[in-house]
Amino acid sequence: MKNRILLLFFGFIFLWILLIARGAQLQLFPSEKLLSIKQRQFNKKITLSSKRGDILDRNNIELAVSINSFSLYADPSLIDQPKTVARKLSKVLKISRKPLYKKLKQKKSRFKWIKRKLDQKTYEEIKSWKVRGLAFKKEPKRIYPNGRLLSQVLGLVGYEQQGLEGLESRYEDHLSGNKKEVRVHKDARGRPLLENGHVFISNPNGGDIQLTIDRDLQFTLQEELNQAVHEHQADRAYGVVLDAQTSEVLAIASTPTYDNNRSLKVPSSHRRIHSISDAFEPGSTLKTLFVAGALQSGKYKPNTVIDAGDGYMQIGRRRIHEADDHHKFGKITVSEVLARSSNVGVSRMGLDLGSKKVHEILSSFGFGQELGIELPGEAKGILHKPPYNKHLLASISFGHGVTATPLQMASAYSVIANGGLLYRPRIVKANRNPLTGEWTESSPELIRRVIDKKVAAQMRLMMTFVTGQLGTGQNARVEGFPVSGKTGTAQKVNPEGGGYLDGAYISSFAGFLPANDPRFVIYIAIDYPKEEYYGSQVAAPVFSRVAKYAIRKFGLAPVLLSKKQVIEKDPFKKIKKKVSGKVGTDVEPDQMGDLIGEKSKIYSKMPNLNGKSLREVIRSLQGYPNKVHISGKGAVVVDTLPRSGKSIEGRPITLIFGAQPKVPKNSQNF
Amino acid sequence: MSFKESGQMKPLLSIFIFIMCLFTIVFFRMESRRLGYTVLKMTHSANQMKSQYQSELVKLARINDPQNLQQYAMSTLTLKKAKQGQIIHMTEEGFAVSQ
Repeated sequence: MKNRILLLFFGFIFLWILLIARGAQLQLFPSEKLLSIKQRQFNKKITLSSKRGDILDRNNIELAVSINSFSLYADPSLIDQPKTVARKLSKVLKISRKPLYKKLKQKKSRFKWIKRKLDQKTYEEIKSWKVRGLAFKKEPKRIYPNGRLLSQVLGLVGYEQQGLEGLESRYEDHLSGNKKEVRVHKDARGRPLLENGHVFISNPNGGDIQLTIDRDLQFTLQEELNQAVHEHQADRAYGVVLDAQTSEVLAIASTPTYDNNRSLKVPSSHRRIHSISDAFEPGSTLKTLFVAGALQSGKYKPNTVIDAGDGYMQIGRRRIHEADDHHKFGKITVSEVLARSSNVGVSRMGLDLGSKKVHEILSSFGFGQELGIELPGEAKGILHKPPYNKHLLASISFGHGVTATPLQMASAYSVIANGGLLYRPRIVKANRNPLTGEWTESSPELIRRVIDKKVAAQMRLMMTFVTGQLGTGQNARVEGFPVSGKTGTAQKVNPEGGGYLDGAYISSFAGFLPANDPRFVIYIAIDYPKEEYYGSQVAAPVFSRVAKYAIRKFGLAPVLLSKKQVIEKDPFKKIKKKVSGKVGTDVEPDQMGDLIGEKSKIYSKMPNLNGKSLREVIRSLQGYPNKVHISGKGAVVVDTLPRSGKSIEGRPITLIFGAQPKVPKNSQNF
Repeated sequence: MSFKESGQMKPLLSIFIFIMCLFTIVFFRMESRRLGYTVLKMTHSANQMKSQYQSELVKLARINDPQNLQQYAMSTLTLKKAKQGQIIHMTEEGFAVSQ
């Protein structure tokens, strides 16, 4: 018995030793097969996707953002009633039932995309059905909240969120975050476990970029261009608004525009950034730059007299004409050459300066070279190398035989506006580091000095004559602001063969304002307008409307004030009138003391302004010496500080605006 | 309790301490696992909130789209575009006054 017990005991001991030895073997000498099984059982691979960075305007308004969306896929092998499911899905997804059914009935297949990037509502509805075999994959989706705004410049992204065009493509590395795959331990239900204090490793998002674009100005520019195209039945319209001092692009547009959220369906020719990729002969708008170069050369002064003759100039067999047959300017000054846009006048100057100098002038303004804006597809334009024959030399002087993009034209005008410096135009103001969250702002990059400050100042003054009484650009005037500019009407080159298209023109206006201290450079070009085609008739009014909006948006105070616009600063004038009206005599100087008393009586108490509009408030507060602050948003004053009837002597007046109590039945203006 | 008796308790005490240590370890491991789940849940909620915030932001941006605002102002509020004479020019300090 004892022996049996001992045998059993040692037997167990042996088994235990075997077990421990096997355990030790597995622990100390693990096999690859077992390791991979362990990895599969306890580890989980998680893909951490990061959000693509946003694109914002200069006021941090979203122009392109990414949100999470859900893509629907099916495992047909698990779907019991493919016909019913297809019918339900077709209703919700608005897809034809047949192709859906075809996908769902393939029982051997384990994965089929049904529709990608659904909106939240559709996702929730389909999810609520709880159909076996239908599942969702979370995917980021690029949204352009402003639709048609700045569509060509922003560009587009592909299904995998990769930038394909425009800024999305140029800043792909910065905007796109990196996908990261991490392995974490999981529990029996597949949930990732806390490991070393971390559950998820967060993946940094893509960096944001802030543009120099002002969304509202961009919208206005686009609207005005669309309206001009519609009004003149034109082929296309271009517009660029630059900050006159730094060449920051405030707005850039070309027609036709399209909704960026559907950009993959838009023809690629529409998706080009035409304002930087289309180069055409600028016509007379180039005269300004040419004249500036001529003044810089020292050979000409604004009052140098040039013989513009009888409206034409013979060069060999060819004739250079003025824009209109009845234009016979005779002897005119350089200033008048510009104001009256004399082709003969500038041709004479060009012939006098010679090919080399003309080439030097135009290339110094940035023609025939890329300006280096942060956008893909920038064209250089054409500026032939000298020497030129006489006819070409004369033609180049008034903007033919040379091509430039709208951006190049605006940039060249900014040289005159800012005092002679050519800056690299830029559209990206700052970019945000995704790790630190800090914004890095880029500063204006100077390319070179083109003309002296003095010449630039002379040019600014000369260019105001263009919008003056005798000038061609009167339609570009902006009430309250002196405008410097130049009209242009260039014949359109025949793309199929040489020469020009008959009756086809590109009408343009380039200029800046206020002329005395320029803030905005604006270039407008309308391609092939029908009926009216002069730059002064077609492009100048668009310039004026865009400029008017820009000055309002950026809060510029008028330089030239008409009586109607000015609020009377001298309160005594009003009182004098009142008193003299009462007694029927004028007020004598020794009565001033009484007047001051009268004045303080009238202006020492707060009037009742509640319910009044801003216009009415301005009228009511005429003559009050107090500073006025405005707060709140709305059409009428809802409260004031101090309140009505209280003393306001030496105190600022605060007007609080709010919503109008009742919506008026009649239409109003905004 | 006499010294002799307390000496007899020592092995029992050691076993008790040993078992308590094991329990403490198990307790802490359970706690860390439980906390892990809580963190996981909160991370999910945070991600969901971020996602919701982002979609609300997009909604707001869409509402503020100038095209949308213009359409609303002109169709619903029957407003018209401002004309030049109706514009009040303002300076940073207040109303425009003659210099």
